[in-house]
Amino acid sequence: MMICQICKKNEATVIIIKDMESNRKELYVCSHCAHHLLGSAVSSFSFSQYNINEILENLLNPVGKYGQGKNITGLNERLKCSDCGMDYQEFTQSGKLGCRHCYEYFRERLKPLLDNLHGHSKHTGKVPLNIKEKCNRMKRIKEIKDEMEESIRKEEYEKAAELRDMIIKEEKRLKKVNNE
Amino acid sequence: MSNKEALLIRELRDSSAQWIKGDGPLNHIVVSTRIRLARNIEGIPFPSKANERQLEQVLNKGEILIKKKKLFNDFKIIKIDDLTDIEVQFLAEKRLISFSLAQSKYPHRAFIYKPDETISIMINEEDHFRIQCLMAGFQLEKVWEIINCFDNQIMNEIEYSFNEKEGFLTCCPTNVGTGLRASVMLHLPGLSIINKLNDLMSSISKMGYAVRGFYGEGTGFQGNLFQISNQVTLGLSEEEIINKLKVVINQLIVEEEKAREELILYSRQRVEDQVMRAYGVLINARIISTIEAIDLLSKIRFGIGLGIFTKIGYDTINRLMLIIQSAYIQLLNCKIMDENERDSTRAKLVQGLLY
Repeated sequence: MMICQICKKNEATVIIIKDMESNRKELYVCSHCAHHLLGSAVSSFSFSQYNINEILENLLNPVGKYGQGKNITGLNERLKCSDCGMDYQEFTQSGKLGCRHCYEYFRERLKPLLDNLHGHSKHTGKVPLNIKEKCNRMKRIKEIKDEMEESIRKEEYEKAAELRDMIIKEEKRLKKVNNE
Repeated sequence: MSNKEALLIRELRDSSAQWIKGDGPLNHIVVSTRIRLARNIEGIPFPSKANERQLEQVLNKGEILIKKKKLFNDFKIIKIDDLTDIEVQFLAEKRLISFSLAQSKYPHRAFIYKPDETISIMINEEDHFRIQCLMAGFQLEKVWEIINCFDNQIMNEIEYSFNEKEGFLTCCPTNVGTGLRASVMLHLPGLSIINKLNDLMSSISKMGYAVRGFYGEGTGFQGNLFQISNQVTLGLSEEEIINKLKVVINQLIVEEEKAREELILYSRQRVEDQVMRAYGVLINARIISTIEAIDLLSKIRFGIGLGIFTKIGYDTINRLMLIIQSAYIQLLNCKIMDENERDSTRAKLVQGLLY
């Protein structure tokens, strides 16, 4: 069975072929991913073979959403942010991104650019307070969970129960931060 | 234009910003220190992809902010769409808004400002918010402290676009991360006279700092005034960015001081002659272009710095540097003028303040 190159879960039942002169590339996907990539027109086909440029135009649209851009970026001459519609080529001309999601859709391509511009690609500066608090709470929950597991291993069940209650309390607080 | 906007523009025309007083630390070399933060609102595309309704939403958020937050009690708001072209240009000439905001075609552009013009927020420029703090002299830490406090207050009301990898998300990747651009305006006539400026500026550029003129991008280096700013915004903390810039500026200050000492020691008479000749032309000219005026005013500023010209102080020189610009002159005279008329009015304007 051939596995879908996008979700890496389902059986690939659709082949999308990009055939530009001697440069032929194929993408094997399941019908679910094909539906997302190409729109509803293809969803009714079970196993079909396409060789049309029109499909490629659609293909390049929501790639990043699957987080598998790497496998198919070779095909993505027209990589697009499906949230704001910013085209990667448009970005290379204007230097302007369209929305926060462009950073996710184009992350792989932006990384070398950011490294080049800033010498870094990871933020180390100020963090908004709500996000900082969220990170701290999550870290705290993980620490208590580790401690609880350790207690269970040592058969200190009373302590483990206390820690479990603490986790519940912390998770409630985290939920509150998330809702704020 | 509404009456409210007309009144605010008149006020701004006649008022002086805090930095114009020119009384900050190391004011003989550093004119002003500025920090700006680029911020976008979560859930709304950046202005480059936002529709009219979304840009209006951004503006509304800004309006609510100044109504709601105590910190913004005395702040005013001016909507760019309500102004004439000359008035918009005047705001840019007064360093209240960027030329990019002035020239942009986005609807619902605005700016919010504190009456002493130290803090302002440009709305719907390249990013939703561009928060700016501008003060006299060399005081990066103080300016950062103030702007950081405002930024935190805004964050209590508005959620910014942020992710843990790239930090504060901006329309242009050159600003992403901290979104912080710190710039220091320096007056370096000493280094210019001893011909050391080109080498120094080119090594500063190589170190990753941008060098611009006083009157913004692409206007050239007039009056020996230079704006030095950081280009790296990602991967360093705000404090690191500021400290690194501080080191570079301190080095330039030391070099400029050395050049001035050398000039006073060996060529005092020549320098005095240049300053007094500049004064002579400024108080006698009947027609004067902006470029010539800037060049001569720069010499006067140098004279003040060396203690050889005491007739006026930095406050007057700073005000003159601003009001000699084209839109400012027309606004002060309440009429549209052609170049000839502006040149003769400029000469009179300068004399009015120099005598």
